[in-house]
Amino acid sequence: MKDMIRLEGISKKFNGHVIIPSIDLTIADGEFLTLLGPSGCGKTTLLRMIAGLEQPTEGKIYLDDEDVTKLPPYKRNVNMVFQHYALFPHMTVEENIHFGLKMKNVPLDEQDERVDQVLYLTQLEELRNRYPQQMSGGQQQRVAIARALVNNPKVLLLDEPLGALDYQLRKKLQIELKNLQRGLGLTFIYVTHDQEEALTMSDRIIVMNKGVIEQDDNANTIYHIPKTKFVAKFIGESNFFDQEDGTTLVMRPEKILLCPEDEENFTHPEPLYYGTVVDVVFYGTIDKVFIRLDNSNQIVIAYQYFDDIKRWEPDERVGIWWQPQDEVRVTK
Amino acid sequence: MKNGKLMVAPTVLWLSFFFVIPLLIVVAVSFASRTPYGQVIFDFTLNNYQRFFEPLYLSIFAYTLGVALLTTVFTIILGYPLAYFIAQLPKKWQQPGLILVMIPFWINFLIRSYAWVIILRTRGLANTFLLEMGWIDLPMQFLYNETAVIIGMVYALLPFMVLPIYVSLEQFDRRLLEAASDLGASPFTAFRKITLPLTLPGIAAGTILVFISSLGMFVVPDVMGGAKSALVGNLIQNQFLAARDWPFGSALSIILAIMALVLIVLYYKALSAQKGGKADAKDLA
Amino acid sequence: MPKTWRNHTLCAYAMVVLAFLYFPLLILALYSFNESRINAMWTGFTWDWYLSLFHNRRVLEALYNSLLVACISTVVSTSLGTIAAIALNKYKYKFQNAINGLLYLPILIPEIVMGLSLLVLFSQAQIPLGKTTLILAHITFCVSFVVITVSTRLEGMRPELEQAAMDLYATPFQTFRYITLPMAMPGIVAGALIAFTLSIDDFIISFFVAGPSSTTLPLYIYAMVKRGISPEINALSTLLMLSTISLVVLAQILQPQHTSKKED
Repeated sequence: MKDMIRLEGISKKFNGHVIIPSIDLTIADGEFLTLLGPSGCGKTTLLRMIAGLEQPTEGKIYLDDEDVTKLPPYKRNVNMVFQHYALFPHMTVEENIHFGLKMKNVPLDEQDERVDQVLYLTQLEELRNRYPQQMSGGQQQRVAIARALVNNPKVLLLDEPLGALDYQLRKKLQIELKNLQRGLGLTFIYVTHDQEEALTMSDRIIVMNKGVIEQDDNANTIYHIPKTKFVAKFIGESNFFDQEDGTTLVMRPEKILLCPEDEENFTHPEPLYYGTVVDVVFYGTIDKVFIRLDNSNQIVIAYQYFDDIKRWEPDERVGIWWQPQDEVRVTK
Repeated sequence: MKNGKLMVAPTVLWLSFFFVIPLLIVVAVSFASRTPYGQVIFDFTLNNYQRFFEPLYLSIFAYTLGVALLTTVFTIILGYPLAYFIAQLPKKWQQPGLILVMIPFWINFLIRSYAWVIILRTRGLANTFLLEMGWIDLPMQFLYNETAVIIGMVYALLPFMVLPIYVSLEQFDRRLLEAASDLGASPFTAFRKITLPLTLPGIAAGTILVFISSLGMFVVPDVMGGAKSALVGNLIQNQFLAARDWPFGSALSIILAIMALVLIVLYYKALSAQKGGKADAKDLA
Repeated sequence: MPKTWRNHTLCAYAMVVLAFLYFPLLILALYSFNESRINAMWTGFTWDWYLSLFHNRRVLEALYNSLLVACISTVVSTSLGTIAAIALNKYKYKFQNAINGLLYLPILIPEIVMGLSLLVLFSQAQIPLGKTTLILAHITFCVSFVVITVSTRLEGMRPELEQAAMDLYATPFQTFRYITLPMAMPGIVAGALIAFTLSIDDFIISFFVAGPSSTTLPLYIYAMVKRGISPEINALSTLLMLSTISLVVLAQILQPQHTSKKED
């Protein structure tokens, strides 16, 4: 597939502070790419550099094979959905959506046609004459997307677009957004700090930390085979077992298997650790079992499904084992 | 807009030329002397500042400070409850309440003092009323004394006190009072131990504004006060217009300006000490 | 219940203080309609004093002077102040504290000091006192208020709005034209109204820098007050008061209430 965006040796410094040391990244046409990381990891800065709202200190940005590094935002064919939508409060929904086309001097009848289309697409036809203040957060969010989409950008940039909404609405809009992206075949670059959101929506996830790419993979690989300790910690829950050779074993709680300490004639591999159950917390579909390992104070978390043989109780002695193919080894 | 930064230049230049330079000239004049016809001669003398220490002028300064202090006290007594009342109104009534306090503030001191003259003069409303009721036989002299000046000053400067107190009360978290009452404080104790200390910056800001304005006031005493109740403002006004002693007038106004600035600086020091950060001029203005 | 008792007391006290603020102004307005020239007794309603104002050449001249000075000062101080506020909102300055001090000091310093220092400047520069000196002085004390009013409005504006416009293909000039300016407009209009009110209402500074040919309405009222009470002063003061009040209320309506920035 064709490359839509290519970043070459992008770095960013602010008053001598290094925000991003150096990043190379290629994004394919039609890809849903998520930049995931804690706040301050440089993901928003990266997005804003692609939009042209910030200049990289060094490096080049190519959009559809054209060098856009030096182009101001208003000359780049990408559009952004801002974190708090940044809708113009003195304009109606329709005027907001018209704005980009008006600035590009698109012929008037084409403007109207495109605005009507995008209003239909985002189900905003009824609200076209409202002002942003008169609408709910979810509706404002749709206007922000419509306002960007109407320009037929080559890439849509989204900066935590669902961050201000409540949980239920966020879940619903995640699916809507994903469907929209698939239907249009448009390249999305999506910034979020919410790992669940990243896992459900993305074709590809870039996990960032302190301006550095920790891992660049699809959702499945990111979750099951984290490359670094940071990724394993940031996404989902993990248990870490330091090894003598300096590496660390990363085990997801659902891969941790428990057996009674005194079990005989077991058919599975021999337990690697032993410990005492300290707490069992009911989580609906699972029990979370907290085990304190012997010889150390480390707490291991294991998920137990109810179709498992037995529900554990505090103070019970357990052996911990796992299937060798589930082992993930990280070096840092 | 490459030279956008320069957009601030016209205003800076304007204020330098019509605000800073005039002040510097006043400083220069305050060290100058004059001919008998009032012409300023730029030599260097400390005479104007020495004259300030003559008993006559010192007593006017002391009197002015006294009036300013009383004015401040009365504006707090009248202003705090009013600000408190507005701050506890439902949100939509606060803005109109505030505008109601601010409107007299925008009408100039002259008209507002004059309005009191109508009421207090010998044949004014107050005397007519008292005579008609038969409570007095002869008109009383309400105007042209200290009381009249204080009434006029309190009246003129009250909005200066209400506004900053209101601002501090509006930011005050009322849940603290619920917490205090939950912990057994009576309403009065809660007010004394919680509300008052936390709104002290507002009172301080109001005090500064009222006090500084009182020091420089000349309209109210001019209209309501007569010769005996002249304040520093009237003294300065007199040096510039009647006596034509500009060097002495300049020295007096430099002293006045320095007192004002010292108060403002002290206020910021106190404020930034309390905030633990930097206060800026906006906190007052 | 003690709580309602306390509320009632507070309410009553506040009403008394408000009455104290408004009673003299109402009396002033009322007496401008009283037939009797000298008595405080109400003898009947009349428009005479207002009518006589409109036949008084000196009042009309003062009105003309006031309006001329206020209009020119408003236009100049609003332009200067708006441009400065936009620059201050957009850029960081090395001497930010010095600039802020320069902007706020004219408000904080006693008016009498500002008035006499301008008098000294004009006399040293040998500029004859008149409408020109009045206008120069009025611009000087108005400009800080304009900067503050417009700045407050601009501070309530999110920087993302301008960025969103740039992202939607608006050049810096178009961004200014379609986003910054319309959004700052209520602040600019409020600033202009405040400047106009300050100018038309100013007495203290005008007192020092006006010449014999440039008497404004407040200066005219002062001259009349010095000669004694007259119902014409009441009428003129009432008119000035009404215009001030309407301008201030208008400016307040346009002023930014606590805008969106804080809400999330």
